[in-house]
Amino acid sequence: MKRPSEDVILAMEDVKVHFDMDEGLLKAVDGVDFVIKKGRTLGIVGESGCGKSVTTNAIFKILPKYGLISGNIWLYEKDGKELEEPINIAELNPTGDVIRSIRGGNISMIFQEPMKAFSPVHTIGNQIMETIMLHVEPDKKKAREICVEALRAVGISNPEQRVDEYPHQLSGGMRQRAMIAMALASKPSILIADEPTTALDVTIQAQVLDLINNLKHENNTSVIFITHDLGVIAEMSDDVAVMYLGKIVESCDVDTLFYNPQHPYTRALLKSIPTADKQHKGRFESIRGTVPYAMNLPVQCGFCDRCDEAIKGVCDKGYPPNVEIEPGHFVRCFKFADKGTEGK
Amino acid sequence: MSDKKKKSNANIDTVDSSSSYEVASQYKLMWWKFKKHKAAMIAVPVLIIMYLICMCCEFFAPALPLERYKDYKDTAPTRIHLWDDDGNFVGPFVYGLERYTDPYTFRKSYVESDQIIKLGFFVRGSEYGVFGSNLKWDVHFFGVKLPEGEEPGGHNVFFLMGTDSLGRDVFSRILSGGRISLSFCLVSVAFTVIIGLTLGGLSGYLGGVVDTIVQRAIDLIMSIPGIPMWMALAAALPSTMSNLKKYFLMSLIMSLIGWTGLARVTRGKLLSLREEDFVIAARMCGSSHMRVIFKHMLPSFLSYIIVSVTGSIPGTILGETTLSFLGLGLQAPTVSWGTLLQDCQTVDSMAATPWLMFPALFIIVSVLCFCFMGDGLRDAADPYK
Amino acid sequence: MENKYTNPIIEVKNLKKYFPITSGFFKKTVGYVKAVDNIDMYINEGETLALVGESGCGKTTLGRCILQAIKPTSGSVLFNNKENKQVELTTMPYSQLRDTRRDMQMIFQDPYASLDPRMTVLNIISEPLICHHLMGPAERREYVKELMVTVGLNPRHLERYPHAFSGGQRQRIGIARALATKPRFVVCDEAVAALDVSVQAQVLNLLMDLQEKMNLSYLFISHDLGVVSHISDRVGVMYVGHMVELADTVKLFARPMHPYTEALLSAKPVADPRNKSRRIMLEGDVANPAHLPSGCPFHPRCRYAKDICKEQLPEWRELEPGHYVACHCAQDLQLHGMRGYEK
Repeated sequence: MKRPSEDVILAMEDVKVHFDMDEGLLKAVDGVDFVIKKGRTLGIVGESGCGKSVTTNAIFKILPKYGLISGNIWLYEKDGKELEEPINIAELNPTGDVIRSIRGGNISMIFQEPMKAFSPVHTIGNQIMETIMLHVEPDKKKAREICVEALRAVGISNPEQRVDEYPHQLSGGMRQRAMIAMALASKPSILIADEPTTALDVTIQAQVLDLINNLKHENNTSVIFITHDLGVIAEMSDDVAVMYLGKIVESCDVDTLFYNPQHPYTRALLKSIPTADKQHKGRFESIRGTVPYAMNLPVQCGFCDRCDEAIKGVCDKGYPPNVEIEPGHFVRCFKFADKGTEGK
Repeated sequence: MSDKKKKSNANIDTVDSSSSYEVASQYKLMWWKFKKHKAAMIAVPVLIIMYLICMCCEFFAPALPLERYKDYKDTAPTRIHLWDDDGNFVGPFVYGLERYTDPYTFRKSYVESDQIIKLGFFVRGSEYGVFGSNLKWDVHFFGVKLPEGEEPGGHNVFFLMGTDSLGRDVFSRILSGGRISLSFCLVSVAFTVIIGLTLGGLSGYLGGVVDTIVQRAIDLIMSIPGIPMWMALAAALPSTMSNLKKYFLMSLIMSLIGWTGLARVTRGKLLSLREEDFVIAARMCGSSHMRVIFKHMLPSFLSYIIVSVTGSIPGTILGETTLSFLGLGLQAPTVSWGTLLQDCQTVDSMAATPWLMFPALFIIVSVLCFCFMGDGLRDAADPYK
Repeated sequence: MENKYTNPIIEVKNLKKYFPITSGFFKKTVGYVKAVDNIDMYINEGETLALVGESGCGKTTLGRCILQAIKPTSGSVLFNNKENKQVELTTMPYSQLRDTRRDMQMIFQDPYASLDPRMTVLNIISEPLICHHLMGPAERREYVKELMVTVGLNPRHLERYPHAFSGGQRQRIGIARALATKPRFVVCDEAVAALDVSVQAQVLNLLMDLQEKMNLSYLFISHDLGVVSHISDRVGVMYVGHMVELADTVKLFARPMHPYTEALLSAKPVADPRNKSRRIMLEGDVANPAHLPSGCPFHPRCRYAKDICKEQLPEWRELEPGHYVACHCAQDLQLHGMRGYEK
């Protein structure tokens, strides 16, 4: 697979993750394409159950046994060097050496619940050092120094003391910082942040978002930022992919998304967020109905039952094409089927 | 306004796809989940069959538990044949037994003679009272076909699992012992449930001083080593006591030690349920205390209690067997699986008459079945995950 | 704006709730978590008062104390009942309180935990009717169907169990239950926090429609300033058990008077990439309610803190008509409000 351009680190090609359940086939992710560019943040936004977390779990190859993954996930750079032959993560053995060296080394992840990500019986320092010793510095003493520095870098006061504390001794915000320190200790080229601030309070969330942004600029890390909060997306991301029912329905840069959204779902979503600058006591524009359960779905645009602009006989008769209506602006909707070149 | 209303009405889905899942109650969902647990689905029928057989043990056993065959002591299990020596099909039969004394060791054993004794279902045998009543009956589920006029206890014999040193049929004694052992655990668990639910419930619902006292008492009881405690309590029972009294007192003793776990579960569950949103919601609706407890808390709590209780049955079976084996619990002539195992306490008897270990097999099977059933119930207890 | 509603339905005076911290073998009380400390406020008939604050600030406890779901430690809650008489809820006997519950209800945050999974929708919604001995079974059934239509549920789903519904639909069931006895005051405890954005908007619209139709008063507890700015008439801001500011929504968002409010408003990410907010970063974490700092509980994180803030708890005062604040320096500060509100 040829590298599309110099700054692309990772490319997803028609990635599908299907879960083979007792009740039927659950298409959690159904044909996702995107690229991760160096030093840029891709925001993935969508409602619960749209498959945004499963997508990144596929990159990390942490799927349950009954999860079937197809398509290609190309990794073009490893340990800061360009690979002659890109690695297809989708085809790797989920317990093999290669994926283990990528996990935590080249790609790191921050989770929503920092308490669940840390083991309660080991100190913060030991857990961060484990990553460092595995990927960066095998010497224990030096690893500890790196660990202290990493904790200092994420703004934890008194890191020499904190390094020997257990997760429950830290507050929620501190724990999230410690997790970021762990994720970034091995200097990964890609950081996946899965709803990292959802469990935090607004003022703490502001601290953590700032921290992630600063660290990203310092290390030129690429970030995949998953969230359901469009406010956070606007703050954090350079490019945005809007997911609905396992598919990316619209992807473009962040400015276009907020000022020139095209897909009916994106537009409805933007209207329905309660922003403070809309005036007082107004009604909300809501999307009717609820997100359908992604099991045994009919062949139609996933949004057509809730869409005000659905065209009868078209939208409910097949999957809409992914169309590039402007350079870099993809929309998956029948309305634009003949308004641009069909993207991949 | 009318415009808005139209919009909110449009949210109602117009098709009513009322499948059974949507109107399934808690117990239905639990049953569906339980059915997925294969081991439990095998264990339950096995247990039901075991209980049925042991309940009617006189009918299902070929002999009576205390009936002695004086001429057949320490007999090995009899082999059942279908074809005779010449290869002719005769149906299930056994050969008659002849005593044989080893000329060197003088050890007595039995060898098969040429006499063919036919076996059959629903045969005439020793007389017994149906369910211990005065109603006499002499039909057994299976056994040897006695010739017309011959009394049972003669030389037409058949021992499925051998006999003990007094010439009593081991299989019949196992079934009869099962009646005691399998019912004992239910009686004991019933006592446990009464004590555990009451004390745990009081502790959780009242809180404060009562809670502290009960919790400390549980700590105390849990810290006492089990076997010496049982020994002390069992030793306190007078030896002249009737078997029935002893049976109930023993089960009471078991539950006096066993209630602590259940009390803890009850208290914990009550405390967490009290703070559960739907319970607060019920109080906010204006429900009375009684209604909150019985209509809202108890049903959600019941499934956990059932699981906890099923989980404690194997321990009780093993406890009773252990005590009886050590001679502290039920004593001969009462037949239970524990007292039956008393016969093979020496290496000698184990080597010479290994068939006396058959009760252990029944203990293992029943304990395993209860464990599997408990497993399945635990999986099914919370069907809303 | 203040004159629109004049008749207070709820009046809270000096309300306190301290949870004892126990430790040791005999569970001796070693301290108190001051979850709600000295709150004064009122809610007018037909208005929506929002409570905002971060997790652990005591807003949920306050809401439950007002409804007497939790017995407050001290203070008084006056409720204006149907006969237009003020009654004291904190000292009311249980049986009388049960009757009063007809007029005040609650909507919960978690639509999964707040519905008894063992009951059908019919039973859940008719629960308050049964408890108050209203209507016979047949009549009840019809009424529940009506209610289901009102909240946007299909009345044919009467016999279904909660597990057959999505989060938004469950929240509608919870709303129907709360409205069954035609209450006049409803506490919405993070009623939309667990829902997706698109569904959240549906439920908020429903709440607003119902308020208009039934002249409901809401105490709307939320951590989402965006939601609050839309739905509420007045907003109270809480910080570790203390009310720090309470004012008209527009006023509070445009010109807050408490430094914490300012920080809270600025911390909310704005869905506008061209206008990334200038955030005020608060140092450190929310104070631990078991070990409150001396003086103003906010002073360790406050960038305007003076010496007096470390020593004295600021007074709750009405600086402008209808604008209450608890800060020593409030009159000297020029604080920024939320963009879009500042003029």
